[in-house]
Amino acid sequence: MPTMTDRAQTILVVEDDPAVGEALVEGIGTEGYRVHWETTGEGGVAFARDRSPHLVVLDVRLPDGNGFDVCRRMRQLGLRQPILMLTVQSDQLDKVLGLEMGADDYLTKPYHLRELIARIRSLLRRAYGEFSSTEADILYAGDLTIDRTRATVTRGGKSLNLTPTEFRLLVFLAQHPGQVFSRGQLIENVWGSDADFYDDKTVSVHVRRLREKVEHDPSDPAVILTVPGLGYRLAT
Amino acid sequence: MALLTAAILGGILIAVLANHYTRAEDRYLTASARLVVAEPPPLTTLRDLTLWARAAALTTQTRVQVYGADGALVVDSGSPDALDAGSLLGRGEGRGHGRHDRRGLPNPLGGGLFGGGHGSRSGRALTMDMGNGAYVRLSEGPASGRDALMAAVVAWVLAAALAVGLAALAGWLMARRISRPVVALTEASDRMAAGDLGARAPVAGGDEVGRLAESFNGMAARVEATVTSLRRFVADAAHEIGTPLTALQADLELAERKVGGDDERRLVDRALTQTDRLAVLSDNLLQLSRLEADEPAAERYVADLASVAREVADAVASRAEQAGVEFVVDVAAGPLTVALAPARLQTVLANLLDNAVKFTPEGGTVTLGVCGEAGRAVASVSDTGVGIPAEEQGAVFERFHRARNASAYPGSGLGLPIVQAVVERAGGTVSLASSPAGSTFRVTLPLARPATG
Repeated sequence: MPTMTDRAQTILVVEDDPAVGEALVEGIGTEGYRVHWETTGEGGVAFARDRSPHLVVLDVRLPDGNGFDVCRRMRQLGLRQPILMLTVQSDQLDKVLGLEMGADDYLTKPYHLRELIARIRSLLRRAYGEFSSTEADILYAGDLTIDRTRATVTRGGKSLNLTPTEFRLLVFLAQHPGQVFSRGQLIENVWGSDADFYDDKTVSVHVRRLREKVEHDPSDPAVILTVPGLGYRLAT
Repeated sequence: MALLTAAILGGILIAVLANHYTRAEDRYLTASARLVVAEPPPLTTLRDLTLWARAAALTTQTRVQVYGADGALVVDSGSPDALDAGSLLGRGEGRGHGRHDRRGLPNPLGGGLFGGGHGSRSGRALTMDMGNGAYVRLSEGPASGRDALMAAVVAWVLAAALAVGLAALAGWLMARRISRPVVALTEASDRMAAGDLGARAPVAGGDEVGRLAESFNGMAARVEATVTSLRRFVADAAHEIGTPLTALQADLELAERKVGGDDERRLVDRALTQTDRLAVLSDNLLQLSRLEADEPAAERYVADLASVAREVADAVASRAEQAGVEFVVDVAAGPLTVALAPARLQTVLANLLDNAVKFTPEGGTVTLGVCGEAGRAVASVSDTGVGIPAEEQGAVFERFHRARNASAYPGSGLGLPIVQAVVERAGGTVSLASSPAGSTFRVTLPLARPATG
């Protein structure tokens, strides 16, 4: 969604594998961020120190040492920007170690580009407090961009075709990311005056259809999540 | 056995010696009596007779008694020990002199053997006719070898007791020397069997047991090296696959955005599905090899089964709903602390729930139950799915085994082996009950002490 303005955020990618690096530069770049790619920990630390990027994507395996050390050195230099670690193992230890060394989040290889982008957005939102207002014209949900004024939902520049009810449902959830809503609350807030005519089943049916349009893999929802016994929430 | 034989032989020897000495004493008495009889007493006064008897007693070193034909004692020399040359010179009844001294002297071993010393006295007696109706009775002769015999018996008994003691000590030492390395070897092999590949037996000495321990250690080292390098290979391979797979996935995702036609999009989606499958496979292999590389008791973490179950339920709920499957969550308040890393406990429940949702048709129900039961934490995952054929229920925990009626569903064939490996390493069990109406997997884990720090 390259509608980003002059204040495009800079993201530093520290990754030694050329194939992965190129794909990341291109993939993150198409989301409207400025991407700088370093192949060594040394280069990464130098760039972070001199140019102060908005966020760092850091591979755990680097030719000149491991990502944990790089992470620690960045923190020692006083850098407070979010650091997203790319670990190779689904190991408890890596997670604990990464978070101890000052990483804000981690992602295990092999990961999906869309998941990486969703994490980057989430970290940036948390760090710089953008788009938290319910009155904002542009809302974000995972790697979706919701434009309230134009009533469009796009992913990677491609428009998704939602019905008005689905759009209202998505906007309401996106205005309160992470907050859990019961089906009754959703009926009240999304269907409004017609609420009396609808029941919980209606909500489930609409959520299911909405997921089929907005989820990458509708059988494994990652944007609109079911909370057992309570209702729904938007993934943060 | 040897001791018993020695005892019997010793007994026989003593009996033979005792017999021999008894006969020697008898012969001595007989010879002495002949001497005494050959030189008849002067039949004068009683005093002369007494002197004669004493002289005879001194000469023969026996007690000489003379009895009349009527059997009455006429003269008694008294014990030869009480006699000396003085008593022959008529100093009369001076037998009391020196008695105490002599009695007080220690009896020299074998003193009686030479007849010269005043050793102990034989208990044998001999009566011989003197030819004139009277007869002489000789007794208390030198005890010949009896002292030596008694000393030998005492010495033998002492020696036997000492020998028994020494033999017992030597046996105990030997047994300890032999059994200790054998026990250590058994322990090492038990530890190895339990999965501690670093277990080695101590090599003590160059004897058979030492050589056995050496060869055991050699074998153990080879097994450990082989298993370690195999596990490392699997882990490295899974690891190395991760990087190109990430690049491939990212490129496919980028391509997905750029392709125009539906046909092309379908091809890219299909390719992405397969890279996902590869990713799951390599992740599962990595997990399994890491589980196996772990020391069995290396689990230093604890987790609350109840709270982990709620987390996993949250993660699965969306998928279940989207699949049209009712998801019932019945988790006790907890905490139910078990000795497992939270991530591994998550894997266990997620794998079981993934399977349950996957194999349950739309309209079915998946139930997650968690509770404490008799000192154990129990998690059960039930579904109303297709079930597992009875003949395959034993094989579902085998690697890459996929039930015949599961071939239409995606999966790596490693989910349940991972569940089993994690659960069993934490001292728990996983069991399965299945019918065509559905399956229930039940995991029990021992409760652990909650983390203190």
